[in-house]
Amino acid sequence: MKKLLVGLETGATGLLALAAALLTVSESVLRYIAPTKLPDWGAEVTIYLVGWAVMLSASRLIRDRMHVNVEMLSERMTPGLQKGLQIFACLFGVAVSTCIAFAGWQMVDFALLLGERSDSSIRFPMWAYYSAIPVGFGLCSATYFWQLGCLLLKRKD
Amino acid sequence: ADYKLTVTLDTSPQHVRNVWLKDFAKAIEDKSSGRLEIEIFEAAAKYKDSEAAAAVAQGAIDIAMPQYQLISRFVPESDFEQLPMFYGLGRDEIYAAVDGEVGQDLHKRIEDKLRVKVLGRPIDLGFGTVFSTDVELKTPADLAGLKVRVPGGPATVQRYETMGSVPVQISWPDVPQALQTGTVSSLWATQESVASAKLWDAGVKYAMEDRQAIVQYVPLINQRSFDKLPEDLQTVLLSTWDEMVDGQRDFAAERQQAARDLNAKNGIVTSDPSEEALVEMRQKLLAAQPGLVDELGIDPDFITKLSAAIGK
Amino acid sequence: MLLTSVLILFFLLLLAGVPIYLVLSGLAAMVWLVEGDPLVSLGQQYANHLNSYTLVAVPLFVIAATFMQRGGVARALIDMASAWVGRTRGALGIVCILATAVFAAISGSSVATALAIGAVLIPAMRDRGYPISFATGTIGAGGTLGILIPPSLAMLIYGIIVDESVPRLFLAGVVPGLIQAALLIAYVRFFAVRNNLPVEDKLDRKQFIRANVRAMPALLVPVIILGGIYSGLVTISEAAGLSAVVALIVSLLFYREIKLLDVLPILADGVRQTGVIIFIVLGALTFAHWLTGAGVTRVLVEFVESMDLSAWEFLIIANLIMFILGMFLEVISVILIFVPLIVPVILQLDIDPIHFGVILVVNMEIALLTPPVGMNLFVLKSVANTGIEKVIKGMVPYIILMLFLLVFITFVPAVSTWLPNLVFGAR
Ligand code: NA
Ligand code: NA
Repeated sequence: MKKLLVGLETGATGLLALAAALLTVSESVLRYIAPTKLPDWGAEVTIYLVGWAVMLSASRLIRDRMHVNVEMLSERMTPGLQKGLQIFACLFGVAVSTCIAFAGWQMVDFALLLGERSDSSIRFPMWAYYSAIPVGFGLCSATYFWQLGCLLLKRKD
Repeated sequence: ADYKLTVTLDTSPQHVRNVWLKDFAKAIEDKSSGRLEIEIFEAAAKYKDSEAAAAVAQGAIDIAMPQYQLISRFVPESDFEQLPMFYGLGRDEIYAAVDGEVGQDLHKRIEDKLRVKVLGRPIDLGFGTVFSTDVELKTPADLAGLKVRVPGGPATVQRYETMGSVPVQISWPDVPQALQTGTVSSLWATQESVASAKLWDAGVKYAMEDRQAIVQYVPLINQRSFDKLPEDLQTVLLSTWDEMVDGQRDFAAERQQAARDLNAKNGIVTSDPSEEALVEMRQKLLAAQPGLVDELGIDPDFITKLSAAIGK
Repeated sequence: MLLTSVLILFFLLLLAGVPIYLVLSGLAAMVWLVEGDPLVSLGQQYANHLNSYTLVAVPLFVIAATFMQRGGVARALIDMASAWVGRTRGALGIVCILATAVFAAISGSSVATALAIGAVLIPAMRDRGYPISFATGTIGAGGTLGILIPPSLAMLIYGIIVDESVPRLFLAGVVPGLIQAALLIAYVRFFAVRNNLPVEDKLDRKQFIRANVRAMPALLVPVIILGGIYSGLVTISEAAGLSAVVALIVSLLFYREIKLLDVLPILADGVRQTGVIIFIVLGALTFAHWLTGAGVTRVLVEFVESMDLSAWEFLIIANLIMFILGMFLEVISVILIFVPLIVPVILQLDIDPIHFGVILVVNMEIALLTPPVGMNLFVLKSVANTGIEKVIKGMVPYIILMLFLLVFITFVPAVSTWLPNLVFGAR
């Protein structure tokens, strides 16, 4: 189950990034050979692809401890204190990510209500892009919650 | 002050809109005997204009004055000034439509959708002008074949496609380089933007004022922020705005003329095409209008009213 | 009052080991709640800041660097440099600077540069008996060229904030970057002669040619990217996409150190490395949005005006602040927190934003090397598998050298502005 999720995350973010790279390159090539055929939505769609890719990687960033933090103080503490700080960081993570996920969900709701669309000719419904924010921070929240559970139940995650 | 309203602008302190708004804020303070203060956040310190309408609707800021075009993501009709039927019109013809019933219709749509109040008639930045590096522009037909830097938006893009030029979207800071490397040989901007960026240094030599589209800013205030004000202050706000709009529009036009003179001093030759040439181009552009209206999702009834108002 | 508590909280949370992105986001959320601003606009801030075309270049440049890091590009560059300077004393040290300088012209990130070159050179230097602290110091300092020599993620993000032309900024880093490389080589030579470091084996003609030919595709990448940008054929974001695709092709077809099945995982890994940056960007910009609204910028501008500082005096103070922030924060966070606050002051004092951008980047190079939070320190600690104390010790002479460079760059604006003005015309 876990393996499947990890594979899905890798596949999805990888494909989104590949699409973004190919789209930007084909844009520059197209501008050179057939400028009149250049669509006006290339840059915009690239943003959507990259935005979603990054937000989907949120959970993995936390699990692999890729985020930058200052460890020089905590490194010198007793194991008990260290664990206390870890629990605090997880609680803080759950609180903050849930708050931003909620705010993001409100924004999606607002965009749906107003029927906000992008400026280009595809008139992309903005809620579909905005959803990346609540999804990303929702993933953060769930991951911190999971880690909190593991810490409290003394299990390895 | 008993009451404070915050305003977001993404233009710099010397910009015509910022300069005038400070006068407006001063006038409000005087007329309210200091009870109502207007606090201005400039240079995108708070929001870019493209984000400003949503910010007002969400109540994150009290007032914004974005270009009409930037509200089209919520109310498609706000793209009206970009439509072919506006090509080549003079200021008075445009004001007659915008300040009249059609304008009110549009403002009603904006108010209903965003739950904001439109403070009054829009203020001006002025007409866009086309500039070019080595092709002398005398009539709209001269634009055919040029690569033109445009600010974006489907209507603007389509206008250039119909004219036979290639619209290219490049961010403003990269424009000088794009002109020098020949990525574009032309751009659509205001006389003032070209003067303040000293684009004559980047090789701009010619300009043409075919009045393709005017840029106007529409003042939006969050409905709750407005309702919080006592009635007399609401009246001060609305009446002061209405009194000062005409002066602002003349001020904006003077600023564009001054910039045109400055550009001329630096070797940029601006031409004004004949009325016949403008009409001819408008006819050509109009053929594409129904498709554009459809693509933009504009209410056909609105277009009917608009056509009646400007008589084209 | 709120501001003071927020700043105290900021450092407390940081010291408690909470990740920077979470600290920034947490404070942003907190001030939103305290000030009673609608929560929906907090979400909107995140979406607005993510909605930037220039920001798209960040993951694409990182992906390119990841491919080149795994795909044998670093090895080819090192072999070529070694073929040229192998017979001088302390050759591997000089090879390191040359290879990092070239790799920097491909990659926009210092960490990626230090990682790519370090992974190959640290074992080699250890085998030849180079002191480990010297090895890590040289690679760490050379790696910082990644954000000075274009392309540069740091300049890209600075350009987004100050709305300055990114190609101009990129060009401004070239001369300072070459000066830095020369300074580093001079120090390596000095150290090598004093400590009698070894030379490398002499290559025969065939080996020499082979080493050069093998490096050609790697050298082609910066030519394509930078050539594309400066001829105006591609935008920055397109150049980033192009470099990702070219790096993919080069490492897949030419060096063959990665297989087709590795492609998606490497792409995903590039996205994750970017995620680290972008989550900080979102938190920092949202937090900075509040700082601006709270009038901090205005107070700062008024303060500088009241002090009647000259541009030079201001730059010295700004450098000190950036140096201290750079000790504790990661580079992108410093840029995102500090720059929006002082842009109005820079403009007020008539300092060229291009010049300031280079000052900022050189300062951030130093930040990568200074404890307690220096990304290059962490990377080298793990690559060299040694204690952080050794890595820090080796960094000291290079930090001093870099401080000299910083002073020079600060007081001689022409070093930064000469090349961009030459190419794009003076302003
Ligand atoms: Na670089
Ligand atoms: Na540091």
